[in-house]
Amino acid sequence: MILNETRLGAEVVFSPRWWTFISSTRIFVASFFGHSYGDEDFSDRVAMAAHELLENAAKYSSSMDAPIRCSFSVQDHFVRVEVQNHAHHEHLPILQEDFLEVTQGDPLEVYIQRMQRSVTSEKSQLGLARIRYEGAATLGLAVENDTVIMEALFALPELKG
Amino acid sequence: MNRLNIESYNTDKTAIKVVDGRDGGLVLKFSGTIDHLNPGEFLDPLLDQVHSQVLEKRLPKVEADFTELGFLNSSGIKSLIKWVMKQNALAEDRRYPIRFVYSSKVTWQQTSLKAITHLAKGTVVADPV
Repeated sequence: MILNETRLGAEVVFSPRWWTFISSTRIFVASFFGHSYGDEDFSDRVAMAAHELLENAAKYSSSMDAPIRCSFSVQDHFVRVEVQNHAHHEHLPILQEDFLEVTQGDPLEVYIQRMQRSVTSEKSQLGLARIRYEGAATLGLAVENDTVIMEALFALPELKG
Repeated sequence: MNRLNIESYNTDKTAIKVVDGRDGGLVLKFSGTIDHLNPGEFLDPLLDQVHSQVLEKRLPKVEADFTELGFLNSSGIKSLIKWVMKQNALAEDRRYPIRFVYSSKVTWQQTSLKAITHLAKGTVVADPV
């Protein structure tokens, strides 16, 4: 779907019940940016981020049928991947605290700390730290009522060809 | 079958072949994708078995080849972390070298696997092909 004249991109909507759509979206994103920019490193990073954000959105959704929206858009010199979902109220403070922790400090050090901690945790808790370090992305979070919007921002590579 | 009689894992989506390596070691060849909701359900038991059998039979090394794996989600990364961090609980003379092999053309392979080596420095390395 074309969003508007200056914001080129697309949107995918599904619910946590459709877990396999996460992989489908990752493959689509990788293909879209791979073909558009001819830069596999860039398309790999954006696709990985879309996948991890969608997994988080599905895992922490308030219901199996609540919509998850994934949009990606090209704006100026950036690509923005935005994932929106509905979460239980009790999860929101945990998410906000987690986000603050992940986005402060050296990305690799934070990622390694998370890896060490993940061994004793039931959940992986690696997704956001992975996007920040491996994806070299800037993360953003907005919460409104029960709606969570997570975004990952990537500097656009030079167009090839 | 390999020298440890460990069964390979094989589904339509994911395969992990366990084969004998040169020099008496063991090789795990990953292919397909690992993007399941709970990949630990099949990764953890396999890697636990590899770990205990390699120690028991005193195999000299393990190589994990990811070059044919299209994607590994963070839950799958967690299983690799659990495996390599078991090394830290062993006495130094009991540790065995683990070599991750990745394709330098696949970004996640390079970044994920190199990051994991920080958890068991000296015993786990990541090399490109």
